[in-house]
Amino acid sequence: MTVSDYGNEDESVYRWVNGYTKYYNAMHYKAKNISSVSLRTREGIEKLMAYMVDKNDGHPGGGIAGFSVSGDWSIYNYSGPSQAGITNIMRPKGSGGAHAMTLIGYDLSVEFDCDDDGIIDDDEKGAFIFINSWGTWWGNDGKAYMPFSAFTRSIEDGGFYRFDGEAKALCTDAEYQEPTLAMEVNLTYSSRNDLNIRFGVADGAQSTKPDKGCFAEYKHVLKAQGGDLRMQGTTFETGKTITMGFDLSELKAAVDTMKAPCWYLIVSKVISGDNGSGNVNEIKLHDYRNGKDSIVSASFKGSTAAISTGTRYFKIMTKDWFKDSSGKWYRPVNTSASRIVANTDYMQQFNWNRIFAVRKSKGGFAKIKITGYDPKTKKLTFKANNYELK
Amino acid sequence: MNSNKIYSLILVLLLFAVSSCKDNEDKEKVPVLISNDIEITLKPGEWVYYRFSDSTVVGTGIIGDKDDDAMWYKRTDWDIAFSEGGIRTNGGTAGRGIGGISIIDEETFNQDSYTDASLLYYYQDVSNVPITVPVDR
Repeated sequence: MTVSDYGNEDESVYRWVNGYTKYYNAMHYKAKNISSVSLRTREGIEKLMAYMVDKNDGHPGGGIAGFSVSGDWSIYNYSGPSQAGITNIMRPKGSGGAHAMTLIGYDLSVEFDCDDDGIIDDDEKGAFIFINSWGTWWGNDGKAYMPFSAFTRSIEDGGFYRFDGEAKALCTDAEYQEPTLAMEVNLTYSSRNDLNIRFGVADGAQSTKPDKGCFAEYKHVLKAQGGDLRMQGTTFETGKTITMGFDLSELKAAVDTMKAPCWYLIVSKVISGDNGSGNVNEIKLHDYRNGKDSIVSASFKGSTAAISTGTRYFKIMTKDWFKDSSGKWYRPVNTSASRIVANTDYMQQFNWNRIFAVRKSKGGFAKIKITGYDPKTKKLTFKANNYELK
Repeated sequence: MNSNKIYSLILVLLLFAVSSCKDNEDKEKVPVLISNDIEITLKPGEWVYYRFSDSTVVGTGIIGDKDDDAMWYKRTDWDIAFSEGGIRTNGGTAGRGIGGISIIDEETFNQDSYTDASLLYYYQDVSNVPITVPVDR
């Protein structure tokens, strides 16, 4: 997501963006390849530096990498040698990783005495430049130094990471894509880390859940994220409602084979901290497969909208077609007919096990007792008691 | 017999003849029950139109076809139509007759009573009733 789409950086650092279009813009950049680089050795440090220059393949823009630090991290003033002019530096204080940030460059002129012995050793020279996600008010325009030694040294020697597996960077190569399918979700909820969100699709209006095997059964797009805050990341009532977008292009191959795709938003509530409450208000399926945005939506009110403990399935039908147990497809046609004898659910087989009285076209009466209907032969049998005036 | 008496006799005979015809016209029609076991074959995606008076399938029409609906609406030679997904009668929005339908029980069906049938409430057809048809129809 771009800075302009993310919006006002002075608001809560826990803010989630509100508005489908912003998520849709972000869907155009997808991770093509993710690789891990260990930064425990000088070799790894230099490998990452080379990647940052040109992604090891002459890429003109170079590369960036993600890393994480523990919840007990801080930055301090730095006044040593600097080519980038940055005056804040991460000082090792804890271990492990709980907050993700991004390495965006390096400065070999930095000198940092991480073990406080008064000597700048060779491995205490040089630092990565990283950027936090909290906005330009933090650090130097959002940036600070992370010394190489924070990765390479043990905690006892002034390093930051206790375990080798934690001292690493993730290099993500992005590619441009045009999304083909996306879901827009408008929901209201008071404690967002209660929510696990998945998506799925099934063929036919008769479905009540996604088809088994759909990726949604195994993969969460959102799972217990964001802390005990309103959906937008604030504590205000107005922040309870959010509109988000989710890329479902991965399901295109499956949906292309379907006659009447039925989409599902699957919301599981698992209480974490505060016991939140709220509703799914509306969901929209954006279908871009034909080069334009075709939208099908469903709104929910009252008990059908409520997010309750357990799992709820919120459904959008793209067509009212359904298939019976034999796999044959049907659809409803709205026409003039008797409503009093019609099925309450058009997907159910018509109830022929009934008796009727009929007033005839020109007056007079008849009674019909249906004695049988064979769906295979289509033969309908009935006893007719007809009154003729003579 | 003189001519006056003949004329009087003819007049009396004429008056008697007219009186007899009038009596026949005033004789009340009574309902006659005719029971039949009927078998008809439904067609996927179509109405099958039926008439009680001679137990005849009058014709068929495509469900949801506006032209077919308009044509059958104008006709009063059918009483009821069947489809795999529902029933229509010749009244309300489906036909210009006075037809309608009522759901009854076995006991009412077995009552051989025209009067009881006439006392039931008959629901006429309305528009926008979903009738199921095959997709490939």
